[in-house]
Amino acid sequence: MKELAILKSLIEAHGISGSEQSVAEAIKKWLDPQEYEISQDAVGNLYIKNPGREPAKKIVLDAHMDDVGVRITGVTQEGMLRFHPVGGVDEFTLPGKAVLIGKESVFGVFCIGPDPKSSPLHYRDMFIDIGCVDRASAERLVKIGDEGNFESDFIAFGDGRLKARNFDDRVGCAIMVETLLLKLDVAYTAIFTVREEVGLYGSKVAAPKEKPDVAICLEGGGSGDIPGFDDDDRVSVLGDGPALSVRNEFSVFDVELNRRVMETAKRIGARIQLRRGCAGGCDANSYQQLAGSAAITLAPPTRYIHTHNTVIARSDYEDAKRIVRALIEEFAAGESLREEPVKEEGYYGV
Amino acid sequence: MNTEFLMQIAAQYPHPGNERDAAIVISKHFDPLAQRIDDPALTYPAYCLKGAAEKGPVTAIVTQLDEPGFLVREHLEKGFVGFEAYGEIDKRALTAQEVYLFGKEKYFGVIGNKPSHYLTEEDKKASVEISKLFIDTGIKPEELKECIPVGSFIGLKAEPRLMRAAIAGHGLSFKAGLLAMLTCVKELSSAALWGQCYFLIADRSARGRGELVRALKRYGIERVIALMSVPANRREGDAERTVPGLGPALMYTGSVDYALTNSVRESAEEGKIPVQSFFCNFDEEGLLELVYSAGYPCAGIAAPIENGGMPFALAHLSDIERAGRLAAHCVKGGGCL
Repeated sequence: MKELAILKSLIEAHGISGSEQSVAEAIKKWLDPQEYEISQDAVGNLYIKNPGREPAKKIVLDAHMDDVGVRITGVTQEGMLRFHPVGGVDEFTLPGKAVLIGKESVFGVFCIGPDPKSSPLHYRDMFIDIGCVDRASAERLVKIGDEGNFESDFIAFGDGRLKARNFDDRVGCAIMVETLLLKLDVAYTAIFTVREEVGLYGSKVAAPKEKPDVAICLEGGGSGDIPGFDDDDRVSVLGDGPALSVRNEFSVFDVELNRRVMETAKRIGARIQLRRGCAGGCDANSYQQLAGSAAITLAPPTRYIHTHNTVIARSDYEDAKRIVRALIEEFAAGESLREEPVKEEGYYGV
Repeated sequence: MNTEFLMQIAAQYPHPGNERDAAIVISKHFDPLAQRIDDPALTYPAYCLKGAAEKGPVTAIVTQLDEPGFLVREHLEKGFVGFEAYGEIDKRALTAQEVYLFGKEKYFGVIGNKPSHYLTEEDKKASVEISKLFIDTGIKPEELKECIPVGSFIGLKAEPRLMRAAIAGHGLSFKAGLLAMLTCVKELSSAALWGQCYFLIADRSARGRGELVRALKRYGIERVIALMSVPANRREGDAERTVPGLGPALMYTGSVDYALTNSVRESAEEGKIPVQSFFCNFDEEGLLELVYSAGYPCAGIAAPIENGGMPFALAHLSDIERAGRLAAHCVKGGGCL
């Protein structure tokens, strides 16, 4: 696990949308401020400029620091906590699972009565039990507005699988930190954004500010790679390399730029796949729409995304790091962002 | 409350065929307090405390120890396994839940489901069907059969935690009674008893339940107090309302002896032990039904459990302790029984 220390440290930092500072601090711990220009803007986005020769294309790497979770909204007479989901949390994944609340990480459990009023389960039918018997004792431990982070440890299991609560998007953050530590002789900015899960708010501030030529967005992308689903429903397959988005709910990605990325991966012998499916949005949308940038989203496939226990293949994480490095070097060297179509090999068949 | 015992028992997975470790923990904590009976018919050690009167009343304090979970049903592609429920599991809590698979070794896995981004509203409304869920072991498919054979037990992973007034952990519904039993034994071990009191722990297999009944006969038991759990229910005005932290519930179900139960209530009042009442025609756990059907007058004292059948169930320590104290008070009082 030593070689996964960076990923593990970022996984363990608490940071639901709107409370990302602990993640920012965990990122900064890996980077010597004498070697990088480090700053944060008013909304909390963290900018780390890698020193080096000026590239032909202005490059930005992007990953979001925030995680889904809950926020405490009230305390009952019996000392139970009411909550509201933060980000795309499906309530049916919560009962019986644990949550750590506030700066003191107060341990609590999502509870539901024997007969919930609604189907599907709704958060209003649930509460968090922190082991208190009345409101006064609960209020001594927890305040309204406190963040609730899903409790789940980082585990390596099976044949190269990794499990944690928040590969979306600490895996992207870890790829960026590891890339920065390579100290490539190329000037680029790594932006660790806030509040992606609640509306891409961080990147909406960062994108027009930086206006890159190309934005390489790194994500943990949902995967339905489980039995019983056909290829399209699987979205992406663990172990087949990071998935390159073709489109999402808000945008269509640049076909020619994607082809360029596929060629680069092929050249360096890294696995890569196209992401089938188009749910949600991501920071790349902000770079496209607000900065006019060419943007890609590269995401290690993530099973059970937005739950307590998400799973990735370590090989996809490693391949993503290699591809990012190669892309930076290519774009810095002034390579065209786009390639001519490859006629003998269908784009969607790669 | 003996928190060492609490945490050690809460960490166990005492499913059929895997009772040894739990038996060692029981032995460590019960042996110093009561006369141990190595009854070969019983899975767990039994204990006895003998009072001054040889022909005084003979009472049994009974409980069941078990671990709900799943069994491996089939091996699927990519290191996934299909599974079936074993015991009372709340299906609502399964998506993305961590588990341990007890195969050749103890393996880690995650219960998988379709990603939430791709669930339709219809999907979300549908109840969770175990047949549509899978466990992601990450094990190479060619090694899966050898590592985790069909029939292997699967337990929910939820490391027990003490949380102020409560404990959270897996399988507490079938452990709370045993935790209360230790308090009871401790109280009685230093008391002057009139009759005799046996402490019997059954596993929940058909054989284990049968052996419990036969042991009641073997030891000449006259009356039984069952230490158990009941699902917490916070609905105002509900006959089944039991709130954690307000005391153990006296069971008024179709298979208790009401006179005995009312005498337990009197003991609670006398001992100033707060209790709640649980009214239901059916016996939630089956223990009361088992004992009553065998012809023994029986009362049930139950700790309310939040999230029973879920990965993290919760029990309030005061309820467990009071359940044990109340059982002890009943035995000490003698008269009411």
